[in-house]
Amino acid sequence: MTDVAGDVGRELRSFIEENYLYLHPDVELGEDDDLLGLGILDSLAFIELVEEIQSRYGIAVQDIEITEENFGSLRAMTRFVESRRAS
Amino acid sequence: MVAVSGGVDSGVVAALCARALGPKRVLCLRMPERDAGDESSRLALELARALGAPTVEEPITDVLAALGCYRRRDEAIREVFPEYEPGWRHKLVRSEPTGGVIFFALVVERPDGTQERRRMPPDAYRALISATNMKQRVRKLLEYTWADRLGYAVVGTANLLEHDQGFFVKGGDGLADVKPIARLYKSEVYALARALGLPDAIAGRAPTTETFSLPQGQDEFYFGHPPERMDLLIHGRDSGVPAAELAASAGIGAEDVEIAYGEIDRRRVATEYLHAPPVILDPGA
Repeated sequence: MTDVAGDVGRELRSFIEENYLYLHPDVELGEDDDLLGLGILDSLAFIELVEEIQSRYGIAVQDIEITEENFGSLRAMTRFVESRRAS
Repeated sequence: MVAVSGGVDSGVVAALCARALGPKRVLCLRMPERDAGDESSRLALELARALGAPTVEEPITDVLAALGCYRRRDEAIREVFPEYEPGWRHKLVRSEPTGGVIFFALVVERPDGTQERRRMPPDAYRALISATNMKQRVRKLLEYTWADRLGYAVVGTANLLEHDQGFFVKGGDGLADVKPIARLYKSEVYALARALGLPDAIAGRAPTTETFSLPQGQDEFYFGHPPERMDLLIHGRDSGVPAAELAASAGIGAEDVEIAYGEIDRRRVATEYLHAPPVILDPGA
């Protein structure tokens, strides 16, 4: 199980809270919450997050990797970043 | 007052207005712009003549240039292609419908004819769209200027696909006093064009966005499917036709129909605000 309490998870949570949760003040973001399904991110914000991950962690994300499986929740994106950094 | 582009939608709307009110009471406003191409301009004039309706030309390229439309657009493109030079043809295309996240890529054509495609970061995308939306908004400004001048209503040209799926610019082509074909599928608009006797070049013309300098269909920018299939998909979605049943007539697999149904629903939600009146806050509440 990916540790979303680590540095990457904390940073991503903070980015999402600061940039998107101001419109959802009652939401307490869960690690497995479906960010698109809950309307926290729209597709443009989703890509924004992918771009942020690319620049913050120096990772190149290919078009084919832009999926909900990789970035749809806090846990998914943390796992994606950590697996890339480990490789 | 109908803005005529030379396309089938505005052609049908202008012809309907001419039938309903008499051609002399319909102004066909032509607003050529450098990225829209000469053919659009020529067809728009042909339409007005065929209808016997008065027509006025208001070229908008200089206005857009003065407002910085092209400069803003070129700056946005350079965020993705730093080597881009004004004059390189370009267009925006969406990702294939996969059921996942939709994102956009910019395609540029270099002077030697080679094309290159790069994913567009959201900030550059917003910069590009906000610049190109100026075209629709400047057009609408002139439409209302003429409507005010003549005491006319502005008649919108959105068809069902565009209206239902939010494919219009708020305060731009989405703004009108009457929208006569907003409940007509594209195939019905084509049928009506034939029935109304529009010139063949207009009645059979494929829809384009007329926004970017490379030829671009609405399917590759927005819908992900050609208009005739989008008609079927929306009709199928709204009539509760199971994906497996629609697949054969749509010419795609059942899984792709399901994906399209999902996109139709999501676009409706995502573009709801485009239709919505402003939110009014009640100070007493």
